[in-house]
Amino acid sequence: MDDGQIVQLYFDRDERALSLTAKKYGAYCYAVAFGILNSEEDSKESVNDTYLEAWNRIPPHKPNILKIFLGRLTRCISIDKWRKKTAGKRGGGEIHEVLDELSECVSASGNPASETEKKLLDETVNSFVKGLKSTEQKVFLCRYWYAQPIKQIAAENSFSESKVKTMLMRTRQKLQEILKKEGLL
Amino acid sequence: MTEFDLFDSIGNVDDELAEKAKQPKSSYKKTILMISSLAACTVFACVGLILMQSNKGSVKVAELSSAAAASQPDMIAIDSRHSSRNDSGSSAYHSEYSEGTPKNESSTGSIYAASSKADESSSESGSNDNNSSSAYISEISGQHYDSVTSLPDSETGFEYKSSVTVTESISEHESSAYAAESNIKYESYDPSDEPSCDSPYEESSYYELPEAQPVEIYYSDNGELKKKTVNIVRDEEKAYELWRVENHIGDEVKFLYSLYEVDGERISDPHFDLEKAAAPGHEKTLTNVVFITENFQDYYSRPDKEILLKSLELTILGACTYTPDEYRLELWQENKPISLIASDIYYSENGRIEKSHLYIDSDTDELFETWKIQNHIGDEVKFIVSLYELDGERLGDPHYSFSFTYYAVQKLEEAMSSGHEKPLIYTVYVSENFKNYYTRPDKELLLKSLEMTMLGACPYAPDEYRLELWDGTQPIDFVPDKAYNEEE
Repeated sequence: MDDGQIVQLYFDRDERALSLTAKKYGAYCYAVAFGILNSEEDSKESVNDTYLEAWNRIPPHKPNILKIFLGRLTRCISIDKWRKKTAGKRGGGEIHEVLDELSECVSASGNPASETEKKLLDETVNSFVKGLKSTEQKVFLCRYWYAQPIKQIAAENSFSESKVKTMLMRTRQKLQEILKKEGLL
Repeated sequence: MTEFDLFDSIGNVDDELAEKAKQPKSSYKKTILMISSLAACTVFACVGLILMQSNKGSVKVAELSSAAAASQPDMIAIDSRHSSRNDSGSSAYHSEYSEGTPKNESSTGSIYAASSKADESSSESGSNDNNSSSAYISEISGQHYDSVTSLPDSETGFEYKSSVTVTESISEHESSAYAAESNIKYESYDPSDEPSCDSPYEESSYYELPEAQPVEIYYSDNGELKKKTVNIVRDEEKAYELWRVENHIGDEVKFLYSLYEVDGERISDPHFDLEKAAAPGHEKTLTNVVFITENFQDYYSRPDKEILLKSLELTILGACTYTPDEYRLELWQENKPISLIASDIYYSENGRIEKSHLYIDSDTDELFETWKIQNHIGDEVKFIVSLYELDGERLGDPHYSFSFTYYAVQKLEEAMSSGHEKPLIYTVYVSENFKNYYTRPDKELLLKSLEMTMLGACPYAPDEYRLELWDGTQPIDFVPDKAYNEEE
């Protein structure tokens, strides 16, 4: 069954939509969640929450690409869960490293962005990512969208780890410059 | 703004960008293909039965004389051309087959085994038979043949069934021959008695399935080249697995990778438009390179070696997503990385420095090993380490061959962007016995070629290059960088 038919089931409030979503994208959502949470139990919980969230959001929302819509929901739910769980703590896991790296791009004593700032930030980041060379774009998103370990990114792209690290660092520096230009820092 | 805001914003990039970034992993691919092939079998059987009521099919059969193959050298180059027609339900195939000389493409363990040229119509030869929508085996010389073959899971990783029916033979209507005295005969195919292929996987229709297509699997049968057509998702690895089983090749010989080269350059950009490069009339040469494990050589002692290689070539060409102009088989060490980025290896030859453009791992150790081979340096000379030194500080993690740490990268980036007072020095350590080669008349060229090779692979251009010979008695001095201290 294609994505359009699954989405139609959501619109029809047909509960088969959930089982079909789980069959088709369960593993993908789990991988996204596990990249952030690094825990089987929490990841499964996150994925279940994703199905529920998808059920609540469709309709009225009609996803452009169902897979990415679900991945994005999983990502948001997982990061929230992770923040609650690790509030005030430092620990292992890929997401720590990912956030540490991203913290280089933002001011040290930054306050959470306002709604207006968030909107501008979304637009800036989107156009920044669009403007990247395809390889940089892929590596950047694998790391900061999917929270993939550097080792995995290197292996999937036939790069050395140091090359991936260098590429990411340069991209972060570019992003920081753009954010400064836009007055977001 | 915090890092969480930034993380959220990255998560909100356009769907298309996020989708592009996530390429399917091979482990998923195999599973999906396995499931989809089984599901496709069901769909295919139904569609096939309907189509067979109205269509007449054709079977192309190529027969190679085993005598022609007997005198082939260890390495061969195969140049073939394929063409096809689909008039009155028949298709044609012709090819040229010639001996060649072995070519050692690189000294890094890859062995050039076979190459071919396929004209732009070659893809049609494997896909134009709408009457071949069910699996069949063709047999040569007008023999009528009817059988069903089923391969167990253990051999292919999945189960497939191929049903076989050849009920009518026609006279040879188009002749073409391999230069090596091979001949080809053609038979038409009447699918009226085609048995159905039932699949128990009805539920798999829930999945978004790639479309199964007829793919021809060629095999050597007592020195003759034969083929069977199976309906599978068009995929080189899957076709290879079927080819392997049909040709009685053990599962220790593994399919590693396949890639395309355009004018000899490998495609490292995942968004490269291969469709355009493969389109009819294109100017660039598109080459399909298939890597399988080097233990395939164990089968080179078989008397039907050439037919084996030819059958692999034809099978892979038929299963390619894009029709290449050329095909090349490379035998590769299973655990050795396959690089998409070429490195320049310099070597001394006839009093001057020459350059090889080789696809090897960009690791400095591997570069040195390759340089050694190109320069006829013995195995006793070892690469020890290479490192950067900036303002008296050696950068990188000394416990891991001075590999870059974040701190090291930061320092180097700063040095590159803002300038630095003291020179950035790049030092390569090799074993002291390299000195034994200093008596060579081309010593200077040798040293220069090493320098050029190592500097060519440097991510940061140093101001100074040094070569140090290490006798192994003392550890290489280092000053651990700050990042290393912090980790400790």
